[in-house]
Formats: sequence, C-alpha cells, structure tokens
Amino acid sequence: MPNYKLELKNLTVTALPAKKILVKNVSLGVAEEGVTAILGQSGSGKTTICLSVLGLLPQGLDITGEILLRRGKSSLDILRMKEGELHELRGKKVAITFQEPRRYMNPIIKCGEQLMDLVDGSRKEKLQKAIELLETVRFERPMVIFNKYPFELSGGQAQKFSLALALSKKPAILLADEPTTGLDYESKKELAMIYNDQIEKNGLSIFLVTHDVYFAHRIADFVGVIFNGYLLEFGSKKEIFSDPFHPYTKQLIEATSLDRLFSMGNELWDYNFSLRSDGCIFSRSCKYSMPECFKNEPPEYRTEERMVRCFLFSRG
Amino acid sequence: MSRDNIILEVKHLTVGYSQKKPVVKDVSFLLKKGECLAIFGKLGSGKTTIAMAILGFIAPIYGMVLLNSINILKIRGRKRREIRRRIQPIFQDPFLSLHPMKRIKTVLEDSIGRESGKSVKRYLNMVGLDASYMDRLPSQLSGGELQRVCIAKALCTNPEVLILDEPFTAQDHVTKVKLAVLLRDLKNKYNLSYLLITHDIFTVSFLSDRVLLLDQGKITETMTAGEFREKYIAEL
Repeated sequence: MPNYKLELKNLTVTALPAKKILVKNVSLGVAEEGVTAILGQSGSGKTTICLSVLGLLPQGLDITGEILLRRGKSSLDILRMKEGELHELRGKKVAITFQEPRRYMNPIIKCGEQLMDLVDGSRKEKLQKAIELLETVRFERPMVIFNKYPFELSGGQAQKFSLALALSKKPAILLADEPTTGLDYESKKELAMIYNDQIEKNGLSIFLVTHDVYFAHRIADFVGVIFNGYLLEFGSKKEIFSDPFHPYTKQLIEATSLDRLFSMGNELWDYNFSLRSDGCIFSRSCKYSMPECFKNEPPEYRTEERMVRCFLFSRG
Repeated sequence: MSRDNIILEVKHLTVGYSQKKPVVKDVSFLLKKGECLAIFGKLGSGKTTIAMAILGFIAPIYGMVLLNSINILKIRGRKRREIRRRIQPIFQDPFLSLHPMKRIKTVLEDSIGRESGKSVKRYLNMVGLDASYMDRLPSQLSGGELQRVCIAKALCTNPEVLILDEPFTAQDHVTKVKLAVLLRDLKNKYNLSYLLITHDIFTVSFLSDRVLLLDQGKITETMTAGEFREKYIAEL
C-alpha cells in the first residue's frame, strides 16, 4: 500500500435519531503528493465524507471509525480531536474548496483584501504574497482580480480564487469538493494544471470529490467509487478505468464512452435508491444480482492495492 | 438548403446591455425541423444572451428571430403569447424553474391549460415518470427528476423548438446520460427541434447534429457533430 498522508478507516456516518446511514464503513487513503478521487452520483455521501475530514458535519450525526492524518511516523485521529485542535487543523494543514465557492467568501470585501487577511507580514509583504497567490492559480492579470468583489468573478475565476484562499496557509492536504461544476473545458484543463503544479512544487495531496468522471480520469492517482454511502470499489486509476470489477463501476465507466452510448437503446440502467435490501446496497439495481446479494452485505475483498465490495469477486 | 424545412431563423442578431459594447455580435443561423443545433462556447461567450434574446427576455439592439417565417420580436399581445408557447426553454437549474409551493400536477396543468389529470399522466410518462409524482412538491424530487418535470412542462405546450440552456450542468454524469438519452428519444419520436446551448463537450457530442462555435459573441466556426467530436473528444 502507498504511504497515505490521510487515511479513512471504517468511517461510518449515521443520522440520528432515525439511524439513517449516510456513509458506511468507508476505508481509503490519500497518498503523499497524490490525488485520490471519490466518484459517485449526487446524494451518494461524497460531500459528507469530505466534511467529516474537517469536522464540519452538523450536529445530530453519529460518526465512527478513524480519520488518520500522518505526521512523520505518528498519526493523529481527526475524529478524536477537540474543537481547538480542529481549528488549528482547518485551513492550515487541511484546506477545502467548495462546490459553490462564492457562498464561502465575504461578499462585501474585495478579493485581494480577503487574501491579505490570510497571510502574514507587513502590509507591503501581505500585498506581495496575495499577488503571488493569484499568480499561483494562473490569473493572467492578478491586480484585476485583486480589486474585484466576489460577485464580479465568473464561475471559473471564483473557483480559482477559492483555490488561492485555500493555498494561502500552505496546507499539506486539499479537499476539493466538486471543483469542476459549471466550469467549461478550458477552465477544467487550467484547474488540472494548477493542481499538478501544486503537487510538484509544494507536495500537496488532494482529496477530490466529484461526479465528473473525465476530470477524475485526468488528474487522479487513486479512485474510489461510492454508491448510496457505500464505497463499492477502490484502487489505482489505471486499474479502475481499464479493468473495473464492480458492476456499478463498469456502468459508470461505460457511460463515459460515446460509442457505447450511441449504440444503447432503452436499456439504460436505472438506479433504485429508495428500496434498500438487507444485502448489497446495489443489489436492486444490479443486472448480475444473485440470491445471496439480497440476503447478505458483501464484505470488502482486498488485494494489495484494490478493494471491491461484490460477491461476484469472490467467485473470480 | 431547402427553406421549407427551416423552423427557426436568426438574422444578424446583435444584443448587448449597451449599444457600444454588444455581447452578441451579428449572429445568424438556421435551425431545421427535427435538428439539434448546438451553440458551443466558453463561459461568458454570449451563449445564454442569444437564448434570452430568442425567448424575448432581452430586447436585441438589432436583428430578427423568425419562427416559421414570422418575426416573433415584432409581435405583441395575445398573438405573442401564443407564439411563445411554441418555443420552450429548459434551464440549467430545475429548482429555479418550478414553483416551490406547487405540486407537480398543478405545475403541469398550468402549462397545459384546462385539461384533465389524464393528460398530466401522459406527459409524465413521456419523460419516464409515473403518476406517483403528480402529488409531490419540487423539494421532494431529485435534480434529475426535477429536470424531467421541466421537460414535461415544456412539452405540455406542444412546442416546435426547445431551447436547452446548459440543461445538464447541475447533474451528475449518470443523470446527465439518462437525460441526454431521453431528449434524443423525444426529438426522434416527436420530430422536435433543439437549440442546445452549452460548454459541455459530452452533451454536444451526444445530442447535436450541427455545431456553431461562439467566441466573444461571434460565430467563429460551423461544423458537423462528427467534425466536433473529432476536434474536441480528446478534451473530455
């Protein structure tokens, strides 16, 4: 297994008092100077995982398992941290960019001032650092952005500016929650380049939460596929995309192939979220379901760098 | 090109928020019956402004929009309302397109006019939803289901042209594929014409027959869907 900088072990999030499972037994890792992407549909629990890493989930949720942050040879469990320790962690060691970045910016303070608030030094040094951060995220004319208010930024500019805010404290890990939503293909390409720059120059590790299969394919080293709160498959990008094991992963990857879609008639798969069986979470939507799938939850079948949660795998 | 087949014609459309700096500059194109014409461009290139001008939400500085050879920008009053029903928009965020306090049945009945619940069921079935959705509120539906309701709402007026303005941007990939297949099937079945406005390479590649590239408010290139796929598929 690679040397994970951030590792989730059996993370389970349950909404109380109804005991509705939002995330169940998720185990995965973000490698040093690497990108781990979580792929899944809306409502599958991706953002819940992301927010749990920063202790940002609302009250009324029961969270169990471990979220380990490696520091040298030791590791800290984020779930056992007190609020004061979490405060020190947020933004400084682990930063986040959100899907709708403008909602998390101060609407009445200019972008440059917001950046200057986050960096240290004299006013002149702060100004210099703020401009450098804007250049880091590839703004061609940083002073133009510096003097704008958040509402004056386009979707792509807002996403890049939120990345500049996130990078201001030189975090070790970046959580990127749906960073490509609403971006055109050139903005996505540019974002991928910025991420690669940061990985190469600053050793950043990225935990990417997305439903954009193409973007995950472009930048991830490891990919996890989540469905209705359950991590169904995890492995290296190469293996997941070239040889997917789980029927859901196969369908997800098939859906990215235009040739395959052109040849499809009305045989499109339909996912059943509402009816949960006692067995596998995907059993009611799976065309390979066996009687066993409706009775028991499949265990995690693991090889050295791969995990799959499906009875088909037990049969080879 | 035979002109009998043309359903929508946009001529020298120039739109802007000030006369000196138009956002859309002298845009002209033809949409044929049963065709999906995509306008593809980066964010801020003026795509949505074209849609807004065709729909009558923004008055253009100059130009004509002809639906079946009638300049719809010049018509006023009741006739204008009637003709508007023949061009229906579908927007990016379905939550903003539906009244939050109205049940789906009421939303569709409002669009149909005075027709019975039986018709509502028919339109829901057309978009792959069953009658159980009639009594639900928009807040009780997923994003994909809501977009289906918006498509059903648009179909209720028996439109000739659907203007799809970034119809799948808010959706995940699986939902996007399902909705794209639905729209493709509806187009083929009812011979609908689509003006697809998007920056999404997948959507253009899957749905369109012809593509106009828009850059800084100007059409820079026209190509077939095959040529588009060849040029842009590697960017996906």
